[in-house]
Amino acid sequence: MENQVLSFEEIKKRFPDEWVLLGNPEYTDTDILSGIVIMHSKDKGHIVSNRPNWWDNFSTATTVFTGIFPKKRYLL
Amino acid sequence: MRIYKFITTERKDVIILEDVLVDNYKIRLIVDTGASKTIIDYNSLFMLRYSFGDFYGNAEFETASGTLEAQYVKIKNFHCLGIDISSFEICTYNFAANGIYPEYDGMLGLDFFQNNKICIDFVKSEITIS
Repeated sequence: MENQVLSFEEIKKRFPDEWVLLGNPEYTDTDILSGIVIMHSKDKGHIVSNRPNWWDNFSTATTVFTGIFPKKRYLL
Repeated sequence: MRIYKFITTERKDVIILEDVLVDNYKIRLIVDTGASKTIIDYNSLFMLRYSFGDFYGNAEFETASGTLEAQYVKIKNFHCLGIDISSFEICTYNFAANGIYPEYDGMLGLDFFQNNKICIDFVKSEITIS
């Protein structure tokens, strides 16, 4: 995966409805702005089970979903 | 006094905090003022080099749908809402193994807010902490 910083809008276009592990994400209190795509998958478990070593190349990381979650769900 | 913005679901019934760092890995937590303990998904902790060897004890959570069994783990560095806590004891639970795939990584409980005064403004989507 190339080490290119992408805006979150671009990431959503390239990897729709996927879980994306981002290196050095830029974010505010409320939004993900950009990051470097390290890995992506339709299955979050796939990313976790690979236990990607992000810490050698990035100071921070995060995993985000690029799709929309179901609306008819409540929390207890 | 510090003010932080939060996001909500479309129904505005869940407070989601984006700016949470656990050992430099950014996670999303929901604020759960009904939870006595902060809880984070196993799978998010595995992304941080935590392993089963770091988990200990058994914690039981009473939920409306029954009792949930979790374990304890000490987070080395926890940063949220401008507060840094070292060696923060939280609970962890395997969300995915129990069919839960949420857009957040866990819930921020009242244990985090101890010794602080907080005000949640749903109109402005802001949390004030002092």
